[in-house]
Amino acid sequence: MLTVLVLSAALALVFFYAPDDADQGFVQRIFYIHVPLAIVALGGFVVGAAMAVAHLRTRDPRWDMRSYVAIHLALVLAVGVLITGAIWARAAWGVWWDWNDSTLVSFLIIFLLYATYQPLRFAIEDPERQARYASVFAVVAGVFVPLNFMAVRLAQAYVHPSLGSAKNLPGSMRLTFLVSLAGIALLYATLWKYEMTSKYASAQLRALRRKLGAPDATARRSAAPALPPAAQGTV
Amino acid sequence: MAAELGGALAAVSLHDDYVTAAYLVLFALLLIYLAVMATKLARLERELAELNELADNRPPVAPAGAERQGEPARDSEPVGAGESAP
Repeated sequence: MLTVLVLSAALALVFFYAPDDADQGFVQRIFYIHVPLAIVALGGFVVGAAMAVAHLRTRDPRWDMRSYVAIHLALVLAVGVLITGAIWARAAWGVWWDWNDSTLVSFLIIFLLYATYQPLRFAIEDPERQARYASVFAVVAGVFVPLNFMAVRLAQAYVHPSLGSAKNLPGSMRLTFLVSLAGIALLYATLWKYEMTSKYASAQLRALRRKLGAPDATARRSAAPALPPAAQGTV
Repeated sequence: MAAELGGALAAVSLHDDYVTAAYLVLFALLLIYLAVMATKLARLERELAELNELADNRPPVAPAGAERQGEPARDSEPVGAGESAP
């Protein structure tokens, strides 16, 4: 409910409150969706890495499940970042993609890196080994995200608007941006919770099926973590 | 003058289209995600109904420790208790 309220408020602010940008005009409103999506997606990858660390420390498969869902959702948001970014680039620069822009290319590298996460999981049949290798991958890739971000920022001057420029926004634009960021972050958290609930419900159903001696028609190789009955619980 | 105004309007309209497209992307992503979640939920509901039916068709189980009158106590255990996963 809070997510719906904040997202609705963000949309209202974007279209009825925030002024047009002096340089780009109306098209700058893509900023209020593109940048929060990017921040939350990158944050999701880092959160996934932190959860993977917890899994490696505790060997609790629930942390692997949490990490998997966090990365999976961040990847979905990253698709949104790439598409909205391309649309904005076309409107502002006249091109869909600029290979000379280090921010664009670095984000694409991160996206492609995480695009290998699910195939990696799927390639490993043993659930315990799958969880361990996936966690190691999530930690290494999660460390790479901020490092890559900083390296790009320290590089030569570029045309891509930086987060630093967001600090210099006028009050109305900054408020709109912050509400949009909160809305997207809440959306991410809500979807994470829904997905976790769905995964636990599936695992409990599988356990119930085994107890009742029913054949498990849904049992198949999967990239998603398999929770043993003992590890099932609340989100 | 009219041509300039027309050109300016076309430019504004084109920029509107880009902004609309960007917000529609988020909407489409959400819609796809909801559709996937709805499919998963429908599958869970189907499985649950199937298991419910299976549980209904099982013979009733005497509570553990219950003894029938005139019969010696038996080592009774609910069906499925202590079963390990295959």
